[in-house]
Amino acid sequence: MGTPFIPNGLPAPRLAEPAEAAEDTPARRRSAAGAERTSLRYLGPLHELVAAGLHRPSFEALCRGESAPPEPPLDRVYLLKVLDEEVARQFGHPLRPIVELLLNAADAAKGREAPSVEVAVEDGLVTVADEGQGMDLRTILSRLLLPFATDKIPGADLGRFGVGFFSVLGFGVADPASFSLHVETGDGAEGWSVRVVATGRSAASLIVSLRDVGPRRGTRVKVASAMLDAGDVRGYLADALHFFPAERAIFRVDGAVINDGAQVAGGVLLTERVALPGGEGKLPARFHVGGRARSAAITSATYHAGVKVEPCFAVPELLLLDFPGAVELTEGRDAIKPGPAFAAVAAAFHLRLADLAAHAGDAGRQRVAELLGQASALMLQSAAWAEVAAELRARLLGAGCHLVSPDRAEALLGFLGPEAASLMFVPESFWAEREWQPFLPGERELLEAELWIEPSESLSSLARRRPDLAGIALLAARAGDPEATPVALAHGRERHGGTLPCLGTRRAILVRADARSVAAPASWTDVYALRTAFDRAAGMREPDVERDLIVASPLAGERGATPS
Amino acid sequence: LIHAAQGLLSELLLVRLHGRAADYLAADDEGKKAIVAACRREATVGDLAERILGRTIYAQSASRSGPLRELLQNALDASPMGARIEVRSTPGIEGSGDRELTVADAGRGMSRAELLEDLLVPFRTRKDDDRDAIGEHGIGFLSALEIAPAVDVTTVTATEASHLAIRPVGQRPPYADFTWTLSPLGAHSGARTGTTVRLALGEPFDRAVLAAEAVAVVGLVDLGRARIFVNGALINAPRARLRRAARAPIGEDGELGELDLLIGRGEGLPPRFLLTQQGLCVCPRLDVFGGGGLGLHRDLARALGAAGFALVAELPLSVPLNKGRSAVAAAAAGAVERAVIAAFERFVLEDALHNRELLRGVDHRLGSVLDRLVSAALAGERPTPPPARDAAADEDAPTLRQRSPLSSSLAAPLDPPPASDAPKTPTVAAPAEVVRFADALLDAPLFVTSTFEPGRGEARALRPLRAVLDAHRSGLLRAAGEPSVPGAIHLALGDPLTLALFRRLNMTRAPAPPPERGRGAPVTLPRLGRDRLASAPMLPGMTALGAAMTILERIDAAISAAADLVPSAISVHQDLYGPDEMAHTDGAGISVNVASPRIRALLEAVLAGEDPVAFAALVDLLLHEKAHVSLASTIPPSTAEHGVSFYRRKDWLRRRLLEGLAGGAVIDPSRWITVARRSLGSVALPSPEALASAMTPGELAA
Repeated sequence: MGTPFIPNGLPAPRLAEPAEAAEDTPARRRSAAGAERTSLRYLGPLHELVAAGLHRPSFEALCRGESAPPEPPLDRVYLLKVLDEEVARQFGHPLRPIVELLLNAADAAKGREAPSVEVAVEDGLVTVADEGQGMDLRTILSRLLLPFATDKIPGADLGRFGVGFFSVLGFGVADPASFSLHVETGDGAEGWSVRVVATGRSAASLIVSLRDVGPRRGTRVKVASAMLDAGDVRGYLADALHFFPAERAIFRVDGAVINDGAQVAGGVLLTERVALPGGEGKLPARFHVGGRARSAAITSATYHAGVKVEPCFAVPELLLLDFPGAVELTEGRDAIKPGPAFAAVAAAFHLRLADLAAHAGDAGRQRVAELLGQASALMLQSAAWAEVAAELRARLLGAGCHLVSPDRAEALLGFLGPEAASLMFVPESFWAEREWQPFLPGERELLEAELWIEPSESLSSLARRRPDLAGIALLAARAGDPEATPVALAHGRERHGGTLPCLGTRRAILVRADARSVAAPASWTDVYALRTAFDRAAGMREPDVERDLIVASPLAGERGATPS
Repeated sequence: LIHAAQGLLSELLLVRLHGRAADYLAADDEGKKAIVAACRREATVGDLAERILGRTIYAQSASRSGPLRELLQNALDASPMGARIEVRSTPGIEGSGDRELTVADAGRGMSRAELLEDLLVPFRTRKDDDRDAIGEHGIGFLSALEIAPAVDVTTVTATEASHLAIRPVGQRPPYADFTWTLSPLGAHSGARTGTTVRLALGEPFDRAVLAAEAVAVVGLVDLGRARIFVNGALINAPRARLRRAARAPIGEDGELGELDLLIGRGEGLPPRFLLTQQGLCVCPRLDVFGGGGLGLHRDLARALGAAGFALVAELPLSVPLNKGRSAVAAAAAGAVERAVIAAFERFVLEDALHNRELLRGVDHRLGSVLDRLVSAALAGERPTPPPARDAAADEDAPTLRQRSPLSSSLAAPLDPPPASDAPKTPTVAAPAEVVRFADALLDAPLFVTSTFEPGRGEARALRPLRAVLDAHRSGLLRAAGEPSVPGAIHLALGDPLTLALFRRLNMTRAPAPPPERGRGAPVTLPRLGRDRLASAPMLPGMTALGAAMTILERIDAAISAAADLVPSAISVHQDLYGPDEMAHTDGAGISVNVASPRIRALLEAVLAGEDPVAFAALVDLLLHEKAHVSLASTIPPSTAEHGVSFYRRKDWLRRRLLEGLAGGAVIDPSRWITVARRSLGSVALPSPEALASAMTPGELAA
């Protein structure tokens, strides 16, 4: 094969050492040194090989096996900046590059019967192997080793940006001493071995060797790095890929299948072919709802083509939302890009869940309404919410339902009576409340529907005007400044009120004229209800109400007089 | 004279990659074409430049507000401290939402070379040598083309002024390429420097949404750094509502700088966790702590969220982010996670040491446990787990009087469960994991300290609270900068945790306020249930005590019946959990402190006759305790976003009780007053001292 291309007079034999050291024994290396040397095609900085791959004359010369290809006239500083970004700045999770390797393997195995990817994990070493379409030299130089150069089609392939391979080199930049990468690949007619080691913490310090190793088929990638803890890697792979559709590819980690669905027990899997607004075909989406995860790492999350994108711990039900591969993804693969396709899937999810809840009881439908609000705010960036909210309201909550915040629910139920619960939707979650708020009538509408409210006046004027209501006099005596306390008498339209006769609103404290504790307080319950309801309505915090009542109120025995 | 120049965005990238950027910029139109053609001929992948451009524009930001963040970031980088940055939106010609967005800064402006070599070429920027700037990836501006395919930049430097127009090539997004046209502006005569970027948006923006998104991405920029206005309204005011709660070093030796944990609530601060760098949002997260083994951290953080608090972790510039700036770069991610955990622990300890506002506010049981542990540590005590038998047997333990209130309430959960003996119920106030967490917090190395050894200089180390307090008690605690003595530990200043400790130490040093209650030492007596009381020696007032217990039991029965709860065992005790506590709840039921003067007054007033206020007060007291009991037996789902708040629970119990009474479903417990008063000579309860000596073995009472 002639002499290898070793640019810039690099001290090649010395740099060849670390590349071998990863797995070969010294003895084997010595005996094989002669033969290996002849098949060596390139040895030197990675970015020089990338530069040669980018420059067509150099690329063709390399493919022909010339030892002195023309010098590519590329801007090395710029190229290194690009490589630095792609190597070290793609992903937020340190182990994400391993997932990229698995996805590349799954893409290579595509089209075969029962495609599968074998992964072996031990401390410091991960091996990923597939028997799919491997690579010849041209592909290695013009696809694998060129960032952004990929023939993959979003939607059909899992690979997308042509940079997954570079992210693996990030292990080398992060911890050069322990790193080595070994790719063996072949398309059946050729076979190549690519090894990368790192001598420092930047892309410029990555050294690559390229060898002809004779015809083979399939691809095997070995990554060695001290940063690869076997337990962490297994856990992360199972977490990221557990929802990957098994018909697409089976991932076997140390012999055990990680995407056989065993990680989640129970629940419903809904599959949906989502029509795009433009009408260009239908995209397959999958929604898993309910059930229980067998591992703590699996929580509600969004997925993209079966690969986990973003976990969401705060949603109480287990929701796994798998977006079709054709929906755009950020390069960091940590978020799905909002847009028409995203919104179409979100809308399909909401309506599908509303279907599912059609036969649930009132409480069940309210729970689904809350869940959808949370999912919309926390997992779906509110995409399509404005479009579907009205329909969801009609199907899940009914027209008479009012949105009440959980802080106000008890006060309202106490004031309006427990029957008012059927008119209230009380989302426990801040996010559900935020989503639903523009689409539902609120507390004010509820009060207007239930009560006839007199104009507001000061507490002292009400006490003067209605001496027949004994409770008002009690309140006037209690209030710090009855002249400046705005109150309004309220009368129930149909229902009797609840047991707590006062309610604080933005304008005034509502007092029910039809409550016994207001009209004629007699027993301790009336006194207690009137007092605590008024104090709370006046804005007193419960701890202060307690202190006032339990610790500070004068007792009959102490003052020698019974409070009326 | 400089003429207008124009070309395609991809050409700028292509000629840069192929090392001919300088020739290209110097060439005339024909020359440019020739250079581009030569580069394309020699490229292996013909459309690589377009691909890179496409990625940079369309595959970076995860939301529509991402490009806005990038533009504001560029404006911030260009602006001097405290400058004003204006974002304005105006309706397009067709109406229906705003279609034009302008971001204007009064920074130094950009030269012609900067525009063509840095602004428009991904991966390359001059910000490399600007240490305050974080726009390091050189992709920010281009990502704006995702939301606005047509962009106009007007920029004025001290010496030149230019206009740059970018327009899409093609029918609809994603556009394969864009044209650029750069023209010099003649009217440059001492005009103020600065840059204005005008975007013609692809999709109309709602004005309120724009403001909300701007708040979400730059709402936390320090007001001293810049004041950012959206349509005339200042939007980075929420920053003022945050206070710095803790700092923690990032990385083994803090090689990545220090992380600030900020906390606050109010307008513009949604209750969640935010990672920021220079106040710019990196990513919002719902849960601070995702990993395993952090259950209590997560609970606590969620409780803070439920109470409306936002937590913000501000990263220093030394922490690298990923390219889309949507996460910490993988290499630093682990170190940042660990720093967030450490900062959170510091914050919890700081709160326990000083103002205790948050832990009380969120009504998490950790608050009270920490309180007690910190007080004990300040007093130099350390609760030692007593023998298991002792811990289990609550009522008859002969050594009980010698225990501090702290150890009696904490001992049980610290212990392994007893093998047999009496059935052990965990204390409600402090489940084992909470106590362990709180205890470990006092032993966690969270204080930045240094010591000075003669001849060896300063040695810095992280020390736990207990070690710092030991030094304090030995008179060896110093602030940084104070003269050293052998063995002295110096606390680094400027850390909220250190400040809180010094405040607490000052507070403890101050003379104790005179006791509110005119009573001397606590008179402790373990819990007495009905059965123990029945077999007790006859004292004056024992009948009244029995009657009082009847009424307490009936109130509890009414509450339980109204709320469908199991009635609790009612007992009485004296000052067992401290003289200030009126009643106490744990798994063994509700116990009332009959040594408390107020409790005695309430019980005697109720027994003496119709006192609705006293009766209502007793009912309210039992409602409070019952809320504790019912919360302890209701385990909220681990994923519940809002912990069931205590007072909400109490409100619910109160409403159910009143409804039950009004509807006749529950018998009014006050009707039992008459029954309880029967054959009652006097309503006076036995004196605490008499009761204590009658109920405890002679040698201990002595």
